[in-house]
Amino acid sequence: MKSYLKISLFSLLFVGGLTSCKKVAGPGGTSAIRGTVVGVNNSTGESETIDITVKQGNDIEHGDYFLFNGPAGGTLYYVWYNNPTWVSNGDPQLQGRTGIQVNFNYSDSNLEIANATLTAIEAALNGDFTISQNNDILTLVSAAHTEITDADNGTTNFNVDVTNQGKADVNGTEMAITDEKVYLIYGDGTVFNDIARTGADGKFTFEGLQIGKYKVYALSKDATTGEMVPVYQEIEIKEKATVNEVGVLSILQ
Amino acid sequence: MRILFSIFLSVLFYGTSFSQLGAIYNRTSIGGKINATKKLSFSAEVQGRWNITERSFSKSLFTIESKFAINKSIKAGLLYRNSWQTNDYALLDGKKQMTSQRIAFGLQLEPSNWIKTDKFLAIQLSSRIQFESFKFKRDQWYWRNKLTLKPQLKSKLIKPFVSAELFYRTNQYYFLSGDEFVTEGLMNEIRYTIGTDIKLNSSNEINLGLMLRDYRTARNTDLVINLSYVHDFGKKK
Repeated sequence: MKSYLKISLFSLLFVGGLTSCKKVAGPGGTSAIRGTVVGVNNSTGESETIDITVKQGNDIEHGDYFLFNGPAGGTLYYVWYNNPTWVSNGDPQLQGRTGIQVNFNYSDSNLEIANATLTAIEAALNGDFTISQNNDILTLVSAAHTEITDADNGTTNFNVDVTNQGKADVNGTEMAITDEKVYLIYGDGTVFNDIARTGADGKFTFEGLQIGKYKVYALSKDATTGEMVPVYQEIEIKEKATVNEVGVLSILQ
Repeated sequence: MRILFSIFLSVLFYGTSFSQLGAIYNRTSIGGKINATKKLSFSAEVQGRWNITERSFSKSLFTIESKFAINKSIKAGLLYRNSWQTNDYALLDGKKQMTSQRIAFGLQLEPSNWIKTDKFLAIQLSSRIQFESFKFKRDQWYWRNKLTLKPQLKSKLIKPFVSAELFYRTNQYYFLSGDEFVTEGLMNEIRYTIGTDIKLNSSNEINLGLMLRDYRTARNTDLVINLSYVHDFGKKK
């Protein structure tokens, strides 16, 4: 009887051993990987670009003006048109602004008005802007990356358009990144197998993992090219039911 | 007897009337058993499972089991089962099929003699601890308890039965709470079966059954049609 029992037990274990499967890195386990994503939000700002399309002299009145503004704390300008045949002073004398006078005649073409305006503004600018001309279109570009109050056509019927809004450079400090995607690769794989998102404190967790090697990565912006590149951390789970800290993934946003 | 059947069927219909039917499965098996001694028996079985609703193959299984009769009313059993099913993670290990291994130990109690019902009703209680390991699924620990009622009819051909089985998974939930892993159990399934054994002769038997798998989770109730053939290779007198 005992021998039969031994044989039956042995045969069960033997067949079990033959057919049992070796577990590999992946789902179906009892361990977890944790980590934190921190990052710096560094972004390059933009210059403000203003396009001014001028009209011919016949469309301008003595004393007409338009406005454009330097950055906060800088010079605010008004450009006014003076017809020398008029006896009265056409300068609107706007308080707090620097006036730029442009002489014109009613017979001037739009190109002559553009040339005269370019010359007058170039002489008055103090480095806040650069100016260029394309036929009757004058383009002002701010030197600094900053937000600027929009230009206005004032009393003229010129087209004054802000074609690019100025934006300041951002040089942030390192902080926890929330709601950031973190990717997990099982074993020696090359494509990700799971995704998690960071919480309010920048922490992420992958749960239900088996013993094995894993790679964790988050995407970081390359400071030079702007391309998103992965920042990897490798980790090995060696025991069941363990929390394995992968550490900090530092990225640029 | 009729009262017992009525109660069982009432419970069955009540328990399942709130559930939504999921899929219909078929389990077909061929097996054999042999009595090595008066007290010790072995059985082996191969089984195929199909999802009739989706018209797809579900899994195949190979089971071996030994039972040892401690006395006329109590048996102890040891079971090993290997199953093969589609591997949802084939990209991870390059294998189309995933295997799982089950080992179970149980006790079977037949109190009909004690409570003097053996002439009209055979009662069988079985309790089993079961462990199953999967490649890409969390290991499962179950405690199963089954009650089977077999009315003793005059017919030697038809041996009907009804049964109900409770499944308690000791590690149904497993999650991180802070830095600690928490495990919680749940009685996640009740199986109701109605069927009959058909004794073709002293060595050959066919089992037919209709089983309702009533899950106590979000999963819909499944219906399983069981069909098995068992050959008895010999009896030790």
